[in-house]
Amino acid sequence: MKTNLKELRSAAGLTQADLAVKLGVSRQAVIAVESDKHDPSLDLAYKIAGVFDLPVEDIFDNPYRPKTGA
Amino acid sequence: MTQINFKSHSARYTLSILGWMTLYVILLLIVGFYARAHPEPTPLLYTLAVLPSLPVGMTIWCVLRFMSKTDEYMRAILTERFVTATGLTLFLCTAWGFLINYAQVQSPPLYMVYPMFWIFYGISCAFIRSVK
Repeated sequence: MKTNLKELRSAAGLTQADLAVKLGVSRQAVIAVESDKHDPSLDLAYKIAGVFDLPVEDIFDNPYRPKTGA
Repeated sequence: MTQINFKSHSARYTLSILGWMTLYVILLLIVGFYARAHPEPTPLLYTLAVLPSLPVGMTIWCVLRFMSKTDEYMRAILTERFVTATGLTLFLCTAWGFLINYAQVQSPPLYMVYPMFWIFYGISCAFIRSVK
């Protein structure tokens, strides 16, 4: 699942370890989500959205949503 | 210097496995000595002979507990490795069973199934590095 998590994290001045602590997951999990090697559960996606105070779809691209203006 | 957090799930897992495997070795030695000294089949010998398998069962429980405590990504990886190792062990044991049945190949001791599982688990770790 495409994500801009890495950019958001960097902009917030967080390291992968910092974000992992905030989310209560391992650093490997953060790395995997950032590099599109793991599709997070809905629960984890909501946690990530909560950390950045953004809607989930502003962080993760919804591949099932029809593109508007296409 | 890196501090080891002994309360972390991975540290607890490592310590538990070490503890149970130590008990396993101790029980193997005790049962081995006893069985050589008293080879006649008695209820005590049967009981003692089964004892080393109990720590083995506990190590599997430790792995499953670690899986349940870790985060979703690590759980997915560990589960895939565990299932892969289990599948390969089942496959090899079944194949060997047919070799014994049809080709009169020697039967290996069944207690080797457990180390075989961990060998396959180690191999799966090299190949299963991420899960979607």
